[in-house]
Amino acid sequence: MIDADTIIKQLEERLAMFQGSAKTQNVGIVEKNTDGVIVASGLSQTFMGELVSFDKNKMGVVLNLDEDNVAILTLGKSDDIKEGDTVKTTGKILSINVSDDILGRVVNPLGEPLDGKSTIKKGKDMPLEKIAAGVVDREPVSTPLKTGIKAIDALIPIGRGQRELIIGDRQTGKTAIAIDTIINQKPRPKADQPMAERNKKQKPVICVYVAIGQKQSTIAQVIDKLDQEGALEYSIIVAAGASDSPSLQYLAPYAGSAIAEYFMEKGKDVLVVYDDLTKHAWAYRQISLVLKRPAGREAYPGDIFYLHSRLLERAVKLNKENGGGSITALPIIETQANDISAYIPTNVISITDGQIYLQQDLFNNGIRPAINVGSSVSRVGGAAQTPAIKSVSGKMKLELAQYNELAAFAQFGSELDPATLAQLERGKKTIEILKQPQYHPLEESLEILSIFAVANGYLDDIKLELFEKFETEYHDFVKRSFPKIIESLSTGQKPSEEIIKEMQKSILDFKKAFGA
Amino acid sequence: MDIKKIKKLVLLSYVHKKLNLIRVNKIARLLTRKDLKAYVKVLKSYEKENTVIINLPFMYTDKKIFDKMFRGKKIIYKEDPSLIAGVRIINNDIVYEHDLKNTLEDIATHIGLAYD
Repeated sequence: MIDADTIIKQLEERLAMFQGSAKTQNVGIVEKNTDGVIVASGLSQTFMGELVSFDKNKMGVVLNLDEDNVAILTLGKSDDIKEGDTVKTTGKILSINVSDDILGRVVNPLGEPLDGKSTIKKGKDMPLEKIAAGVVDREPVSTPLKTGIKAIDALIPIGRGQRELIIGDRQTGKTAIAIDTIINQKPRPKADQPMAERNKKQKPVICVYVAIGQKQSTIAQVIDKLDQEGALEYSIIVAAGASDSPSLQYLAPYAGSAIAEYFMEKGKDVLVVYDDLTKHAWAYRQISLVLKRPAGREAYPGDIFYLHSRLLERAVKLNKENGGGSITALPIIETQANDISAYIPTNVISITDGQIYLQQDLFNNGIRPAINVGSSVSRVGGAAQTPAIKSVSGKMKLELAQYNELAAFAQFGSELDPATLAQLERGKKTIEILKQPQYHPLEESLEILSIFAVANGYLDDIKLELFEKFETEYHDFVKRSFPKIIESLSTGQKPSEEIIKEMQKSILDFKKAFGA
Repeated sequence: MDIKKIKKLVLLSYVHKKLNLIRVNKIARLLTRKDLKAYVKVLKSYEKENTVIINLPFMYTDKKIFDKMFRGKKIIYKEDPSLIAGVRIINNDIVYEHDLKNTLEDIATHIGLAYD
């Protein structure tokens, strides 16, 4: 046992030989504090995006480098930062601590928990700003990301690694589509053997929901819904509400992306929802105006395009040499009076690989999800669609296009020939079958059954008001009496002649039982 | 008056690297209130740039080393026993920390972060 005197003696010897390496720190003095943007003199050796620390454990990020001073964006509350306070460089860039412990948690853009639970265990520091993977590391989008929404999976399919914009006015169901997609990533119950086998083949998707500038009550509702549906266990919520500082709102999507990259680097597939980028652009505009950067169109700064392009470029499908992970991005943009030609909507439309356009009048007419099929497009998702759904949806796309054209003429009230009338009727039925209640995403096999039935005219004699009942009961009937169909369609392969015959038989049998 | 001209005036206020009172008074008389404010600010920052503050735990050290190191700069020595051992040099906006207090604080921060 070594006695205390010996230990102290040893320490004293060390003290005598003390030769630590000198630490160099660059310091500055706070000159101005304007709405969370600090102007400081000194800091001559700082770099753009560097994390700096104030007294009382406050942190900030360098956003502007001028000849005599630097502008710093504070993270969190900055009311108590005064003129004359010191600020030090840290040599680090802004990053967020991510570990597997973050799954199922609600955090702010700095990784601090907001759900009242314990702190996130120490994991990897993921930089908020990162250059997206280059072309060599990527591969084309080829795996589907099933939303469980018939209209999307059939007509505007999304692939893993794609960036699909959800755009529309307020109260048109933008967030609902994103939430349904998250819910649909839930692994199916194991009792259903074929489904369980299918889920083994397809990697589960981790979901990140980024709430930017939203009301706290709305965020709470989303969290509650995900929890109710059991989707929170594979999701992470990054929340920067309307009452949070613009700096946190500006950083939120980058934090979401950094979290997604942590899981992607582990070879996992991740879905990130940015809800919404309009408010993100507003937060950045506010910061830029305080920083006195030159204002451009609609008072947005010149780099507003780069703000979103560098974020969405981080959505990627990595090749096998790089782990094969992916990040799928679903940015949301809110339009004013259906104006998709405004500044921010056109910017984001041009960055993304397609858009799902939601319209207020469709929503008011009871068509929900209120997707305008004509204006919506998926530029790369077609390649990711399974042969099974592709085989039935091709016909439907054509029919819908023809219906929309004919419906415009039919408005004049002129007499129509029977063939045109039949086409119009079919169109109405197609639109009816694409309606789907909120929080009820469907398995792909059931989506195929519904689309097959309407596209082949089996529902022509069913009244529109009975569609919902018919569909639900038909799905139950097939699950019960024709499990072979579900099993075959779940593989994603194009249905064989035998299966098609079985599908036809199942509809006819059910129609007899339904009494149509 | 733009900031570049003010900076020029500040340089002209020095004779043999020392602030000259006559020149300063001459310049100050010609400036407006706003320009005078800017002149004082630049003068202060120029003074700061040319001043080195050296913190030592006790005044034992051979100060010639520092005179050699920061030739041409005004050196201010300050006693700070809380450093325990070593030295802290503040050269304008750069701080060289080479003291035991800082090292111990670094260790504490590192342990706090690593084993939180």
